[in-house]
Amino acid sequence: MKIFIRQLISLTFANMKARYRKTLAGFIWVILNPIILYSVQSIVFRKILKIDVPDYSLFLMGGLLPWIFITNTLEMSIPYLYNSHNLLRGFRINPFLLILCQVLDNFINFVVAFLVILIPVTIFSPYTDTAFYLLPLPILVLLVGIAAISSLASLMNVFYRDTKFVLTFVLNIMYFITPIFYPVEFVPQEYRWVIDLNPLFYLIEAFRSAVYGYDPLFFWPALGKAALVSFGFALISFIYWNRRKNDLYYYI
Amino acid sequence: MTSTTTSDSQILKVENLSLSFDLDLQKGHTVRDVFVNLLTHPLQSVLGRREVHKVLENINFELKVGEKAALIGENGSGKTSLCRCVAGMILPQQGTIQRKGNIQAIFSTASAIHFSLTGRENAFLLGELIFPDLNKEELKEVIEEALEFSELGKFLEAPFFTYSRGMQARLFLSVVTARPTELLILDEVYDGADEFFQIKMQERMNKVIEKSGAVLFISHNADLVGQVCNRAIVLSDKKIIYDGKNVTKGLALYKSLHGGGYKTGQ
Repeated sequence: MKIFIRQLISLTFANMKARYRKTLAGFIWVILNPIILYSVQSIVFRKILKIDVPDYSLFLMGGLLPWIFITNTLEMSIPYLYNSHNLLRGFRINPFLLILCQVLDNFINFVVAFLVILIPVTIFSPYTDTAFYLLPLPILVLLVGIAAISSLASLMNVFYRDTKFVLTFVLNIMYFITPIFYPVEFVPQEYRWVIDLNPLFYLIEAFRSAVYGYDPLFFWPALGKAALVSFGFALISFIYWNRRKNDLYYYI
Repeated sequence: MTSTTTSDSQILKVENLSLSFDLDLQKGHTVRDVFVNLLTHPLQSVLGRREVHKVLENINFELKVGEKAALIGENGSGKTSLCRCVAGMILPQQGTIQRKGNIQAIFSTASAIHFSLTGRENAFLLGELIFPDLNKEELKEVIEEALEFSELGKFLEAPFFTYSRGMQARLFLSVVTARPTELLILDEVYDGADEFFQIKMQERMNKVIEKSGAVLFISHNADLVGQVCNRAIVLSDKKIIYDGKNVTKGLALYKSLHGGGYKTGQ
């Protein structure tokens, strides 16, 4: 375990170094990317669409940032296992380690971008119903959930090479049917089942409820549901890996 | 299971090993195919028998200290899969593998961890992955020695993607053989390296296993096998058909399988 963590840290740093080494601009871009996306959306929905949500900037941050983390991580890690076929074929390397370092790399970007946005938003925002000290909990749950989904989909992508395309397509649709830029209360009752069946919604909602409109009576159940979703994905991923790990070497 | 007595000189004991892979091919190669199949033949896709591809059947052999065994067989006869089982990358469905000590295996040299990082950085990363028990100082010592051995000099600071195949082979072979090991598995990894380096590597290989080690060696170069190995194991159609000290005989048997066609003097 200790060895695994040490290897994970070195690989993650090597990963980041390989990605950003050419320019500092590389790293700044990775951080700036979600910030720009967030700012534009925030302005469009507040000033142009005039969405009726109090303190919309904070609300959007709670939903959009974890969403960007989810999509960026999935898009990077899903093809990674197949793309590393030479490396996996060459040496005895834990394939799961390769996925985890992609997830961690993105996670660091997410945390940095979050902090960069958080500071001005909290200074200029009059909103006080927040519980930032509780954030590590939903973030941890989110991290576990994304690691599980990434590893599951990445292994699937080895056997079914179009997994990444299908998933990108699904994620594009999910962006609109997950309450990210609108609150769940806006969704008419007869369409609520779509939201209820959406696992990503639970992961995001737990995070958001600590950032925006904090209410312990809502936060803890939301965290419980998110934990359940993460655990479910971790279990499925574990079973799938156990069953198909051998076949990995046959298909790459 | 029969009782097994492991003598001191035994490095590896493989018993009744069988291996197969799941083939989903008839069910489609893509998620979209799977989805369409689920809709058009729901029962068949869920309950349909999985097709299984057998790779190895009832393999038994041992390796003792000082043995340099060549695994010989045509493409697809299961040589690499067998080595992957021994290296612990694949878990066979049946059989047991008893290993003693440390195993180092290399199956391909054309693989950087990050192509845009330098050769030196890649070597250190690889070292960290394949020698997990070393601490920072020990690792530095081992890798620095390997880098020197590779004779890549100033190229070590160049990004890995600028390396030729031979340079890649030099770097990774040097790292993998940087420590004394009980079992060294080399799977067709000499191909890129030039003759001078091959000779140098053979000496190093002997040194690596001289204390208490053995080698499993796969190569399609008959001359090299004849030079390096003191034992031959011939695989054909999932089984071992020859296992003995007479390497020339093993090679001849292999050649006779297809009436020639074995590359010599490459």
